[in-house]
Amino acid sequence: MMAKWTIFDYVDPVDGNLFREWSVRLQKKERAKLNQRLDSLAIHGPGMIPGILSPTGMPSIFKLKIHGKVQLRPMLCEGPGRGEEAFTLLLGAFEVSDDYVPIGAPLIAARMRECLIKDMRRRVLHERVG
Amino acid sequence: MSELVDKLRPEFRDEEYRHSYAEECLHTMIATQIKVLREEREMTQSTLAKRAEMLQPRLSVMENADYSSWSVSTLKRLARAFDLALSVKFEAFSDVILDFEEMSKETLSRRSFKDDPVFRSAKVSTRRKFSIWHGDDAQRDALQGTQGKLEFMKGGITEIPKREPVSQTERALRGDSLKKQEGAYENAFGICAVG
Repeated sequence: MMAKWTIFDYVDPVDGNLFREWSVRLQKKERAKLNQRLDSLAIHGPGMIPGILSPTGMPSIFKLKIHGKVQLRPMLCEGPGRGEEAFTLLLGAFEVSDDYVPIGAPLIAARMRECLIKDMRRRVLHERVG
Repeated sequence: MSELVDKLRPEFRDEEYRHSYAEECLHTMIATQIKVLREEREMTQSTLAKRAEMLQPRLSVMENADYSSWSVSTLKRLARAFDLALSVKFEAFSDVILDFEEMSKETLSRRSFKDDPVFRSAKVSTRRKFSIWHGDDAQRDALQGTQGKLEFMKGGITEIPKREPVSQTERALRGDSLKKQEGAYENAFGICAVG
């Protein structure tokens, strides 16, 4: 089956693909779990798997909840191009003692999304780290 | 071939990686199947929770891809609530990945006992995705009405149209597994039902 949804990474004009840098620093086990979730989204979209996307309290910003020794909470948004079947990974984040690391991750992600909407060149096809 | 398998082939050389990935597939597929089974029976979470003798908030947590603390006893209770049997099997990684990739409402759907054609008619012999028909035309047409997609097979098991595998059973019918099963099916000509 072909992937139905396209996954992108947000690219910062100065720092580049920060999501990829975050992924590279994860342990192998965590990367496997992250990649499985991203494959789930790409193949099945947001509607098939219950709870695959969790709200963050910030409009249009979702998180993936990936449990383990380290709690991964990557931030992402749908699109944001109108009508496109895509997700953009905005920010790699963790949850530690009920707080996000980096602090305010959903707000940071929301600002990244706004930047992306203004300039859709600020993203690249997701660079998978196996 | 599967696009996902191609992507995973180099990554799965690492033992820890492939086990972690497959575990996530398991959690994802269990949560999704519970939701699919519940919805096709038009049950609310509260109704299902009551039948499985658990609280609705607990069921809500389980019906979520994040949940990973499964126990066989909990799964048995859910199976009972759906009036289904529970099957726990060890699988090859390739089967898990293909099942995950092909996962849909159709592949996860299962009939409760009262709707299981094998137990509704003595003349119907069926498996999840594959049926050999021994009955007459009228019964066949009735079955066709209840099962939806039916494919006709004449001349025996080896004449199943070749295509990409869509289920474990179809995969099992290819290659070496086919030869092993020919003996069992060699006289079973007629209609082949592929769900």
